[in-house]
Amino acid sequence: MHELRMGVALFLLLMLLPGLARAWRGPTLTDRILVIQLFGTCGVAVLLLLGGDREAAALRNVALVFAVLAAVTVIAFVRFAPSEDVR
Amino acid sequence: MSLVDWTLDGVLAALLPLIAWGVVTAASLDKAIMLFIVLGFVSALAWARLDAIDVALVEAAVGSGLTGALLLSALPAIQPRLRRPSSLARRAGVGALLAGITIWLGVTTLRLPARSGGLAELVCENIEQSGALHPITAVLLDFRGYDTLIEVAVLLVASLAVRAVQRPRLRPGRRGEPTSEPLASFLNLLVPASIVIAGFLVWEGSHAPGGAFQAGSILAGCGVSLQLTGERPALRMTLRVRAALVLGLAVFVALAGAPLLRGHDLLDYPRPWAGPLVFALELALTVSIAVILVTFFPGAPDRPEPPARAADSP
Repeated sequence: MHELRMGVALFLLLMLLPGLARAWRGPTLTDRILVIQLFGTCGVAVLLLLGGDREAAALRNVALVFAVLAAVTVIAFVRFAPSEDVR
Repeated sequence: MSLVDWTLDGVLAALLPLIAWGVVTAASLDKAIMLFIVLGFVSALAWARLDAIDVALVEAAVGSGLTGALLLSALPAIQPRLRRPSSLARRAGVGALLAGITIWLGVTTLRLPARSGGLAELVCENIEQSGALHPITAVLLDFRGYDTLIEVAVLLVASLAVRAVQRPRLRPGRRGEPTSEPLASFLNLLVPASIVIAGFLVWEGSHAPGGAFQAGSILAGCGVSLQLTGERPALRMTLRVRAALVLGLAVFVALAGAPLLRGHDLLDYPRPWAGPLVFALELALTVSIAVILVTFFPGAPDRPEPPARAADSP
């Protein structure tokens, strides 16, 4: 079971690489903020998978924090981004 | 450690310097900020893999979430003032200085004894004497309570400094434009959930990873969201807010100083009550840290007035 969970976590992590490329190239701020949301969601999933082991159950708390605070960044983006970037 | 574990760690280890390079070399500020937030996420995952769950919690809460929002809120103020890139000589100088510091740190790290037990054993042996069952909380609030006390004071001073330099245009007391429907219903979910999770994390702090800093930053995130969306006007320095700002430090100083009156050492909590005292201290610190972090953020930015509706005009 541990192997399977780690395998899925690795898969999710690899799926972030195309997202990272998008964050790198942009071109607009909106593209990048969407990537950050992707990282937030994927991060929650990876943490939950890592926390599947009995001794690492506290990682679920980290996942909770991730989930709650990823939203703050988006709200800040909507409020403060230069308006020509929001399309 | 199986192959999958190795690959997982390998991908994380490769991603970290790659993203860090992207942050440093980004051509525009907004790209640097975005990659910095991504860096926070990835390093939280890396700390989680290293079983440093307390560090992962703080990195997730402060490193990526709040810092990202803070940097974004500073963007409109900094962006227009960006000048052309500095001269080659200056860049070379700064580069050499930083390289020197890095090499110095590296050499110092290599000189450390390869195997030192650290203080972990000592902490675990004496944890019965502290007011907490979780070693990290025991160190932060009891064994090395002095450091945490000063940290809280530093946070308070930082909050005062922010208020001193905040531009009047972004001063508190103004509301932004009305919240849109999806955002409003999202906030209706986010705010109660944040409060419950923050309470849970303070409670967890006494026996597991968690504690005042993490809980405070979650509450702060919730406060910042309300402030940025214009649901609530930015904090005004009312008596209640001032009281909340100093509450944590005041309780800490009182708890630290009280043993002196009875002839004990500073921060030497009376043993039978150490547990409840440390928990009360954590609660007070949570409130103060949350309010202090919220004061770092400007209120909702000015937006052009929405055009008056036709029905309103005569």
